Amino acid sequence: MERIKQLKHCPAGQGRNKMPAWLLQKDYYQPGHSTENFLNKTLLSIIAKMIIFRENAIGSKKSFVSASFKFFFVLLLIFLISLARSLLFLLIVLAVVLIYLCFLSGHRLLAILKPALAAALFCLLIMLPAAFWGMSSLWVLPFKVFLTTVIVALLAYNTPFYLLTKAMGGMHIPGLFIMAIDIAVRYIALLGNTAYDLLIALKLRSVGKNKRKYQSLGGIMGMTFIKSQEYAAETYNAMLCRCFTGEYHVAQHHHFQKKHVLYVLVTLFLLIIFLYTEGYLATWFH
Amino acid sequence: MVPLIELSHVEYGYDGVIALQDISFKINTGELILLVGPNGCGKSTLFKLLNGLIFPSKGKYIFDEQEITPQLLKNNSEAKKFHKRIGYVFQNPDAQLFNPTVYDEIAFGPRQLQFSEAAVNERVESLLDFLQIENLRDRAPYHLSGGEKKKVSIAAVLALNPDILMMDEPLNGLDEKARIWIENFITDFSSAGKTMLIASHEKELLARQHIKMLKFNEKHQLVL
Repeated sequence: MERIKQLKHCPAGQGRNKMPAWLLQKDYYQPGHSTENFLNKTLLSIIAKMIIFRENAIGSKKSFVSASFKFFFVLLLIFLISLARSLLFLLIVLAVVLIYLCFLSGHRLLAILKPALAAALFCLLIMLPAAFWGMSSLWVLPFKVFLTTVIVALLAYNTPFYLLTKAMGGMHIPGLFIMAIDIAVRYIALLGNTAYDLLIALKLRSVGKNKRKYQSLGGIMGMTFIKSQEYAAETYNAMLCRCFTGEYHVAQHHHFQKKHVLYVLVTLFLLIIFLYTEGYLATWFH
Repeated sequence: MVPLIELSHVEYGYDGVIALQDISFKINTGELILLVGPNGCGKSTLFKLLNGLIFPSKGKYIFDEQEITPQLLKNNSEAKKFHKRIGYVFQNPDAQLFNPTVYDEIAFGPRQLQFSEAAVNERVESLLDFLQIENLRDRAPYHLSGGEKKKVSIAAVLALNPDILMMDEPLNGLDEKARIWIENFITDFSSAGKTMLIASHEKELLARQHIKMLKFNEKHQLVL
């Protein structure tokens, strides 16, 4: 305390080391010509991902369709798409999806269609050797992959993650699994912010030629990793202090509402379309 | 005197939220400016804008007689020249330190400027001595205490010898000794004729002569 008092009362320049002479002079610096955009591109890609997380964390203000129903409906739809042998059912799903996509903004549309098209293309590439064996329905699987990816992406974009994990609780998915997803999503956003800040710091100090830019990027990744370890240890300790013993309970409140009747009707309608297009109800309608 | 920084009627907003509203001020070379205001009033946004990380949606930002625009900073050479002249010390030093050792952290800037390794060493050693952190030379930045990290982040920025030093909440989360050190550093640096812009809530910083204060209100405007 005495030392602190001494420090506080010592006049400027005393008790402190002298400022280097070069710091008192003005630098005249003219950087060379450079067209390198490595850092800006890395920053932009991180910003794009952070925007997705930020938007997702907010979600739509009040959705008529509950997250639990959306989650259940998407799972059912994926199951039916996988089972479908008739093209008609897939085309009906595609038509509904396309109508829905028409109402989305350009950047959302791109964010949904890009991964879906990439997944379909990848599937097509894997299936390509089958063409040599004369498989006529070569494109059905990529089509199904495309539909499935679009539907999952739509769910992810329309429903905040916290509501999705809550909905998982209603499907009796183990609490520990839900907790792992919950924490992972939260820390992706948190560590994304850390990485973003570090990249900004690197950008602000990248005022010349950086021959070791990948080394700097490695440093940022290392720092982010260390932060993730620190966060993990601190979170675990905080959880222990709040009586965590390995069980994670997701609060569920089930009250019957009028809209639940509509959910049942929509589900039944989907099942009827599936059964009809697959030919199971043909005898009923003829 | 031509101001180093001039903002005229600057506005900035994101996601439909106004962060800065009709901001106008000038900073002359050698001035010590204290930016005060409640949390969320736009201080950090203003720092981002002054560092060319974001740009005004209305109004003008002029740095040393040159308007700072996205087009200007798209030119890598201009962007580097601009960033070299502004030193920005982040509120959270963890968000600023990414090199394996304290020496490398401070040497990062001079190496960027393509100084010879002897010149880099001279600059780093003089900063280690000035900030009294010689003992940290070979330590990893993430293992340091809050006060030590702050000193290293200041040294890393000073190594570029910027024309203006900006510090965002420099006393935040520091113990008494580290706070006194930072206060003394501000006094010394400012007395040497260097330009400084500091965002802080701390009343201690106000008790200084020759300080110019910019006060934000909750409507993201400057109050005179």
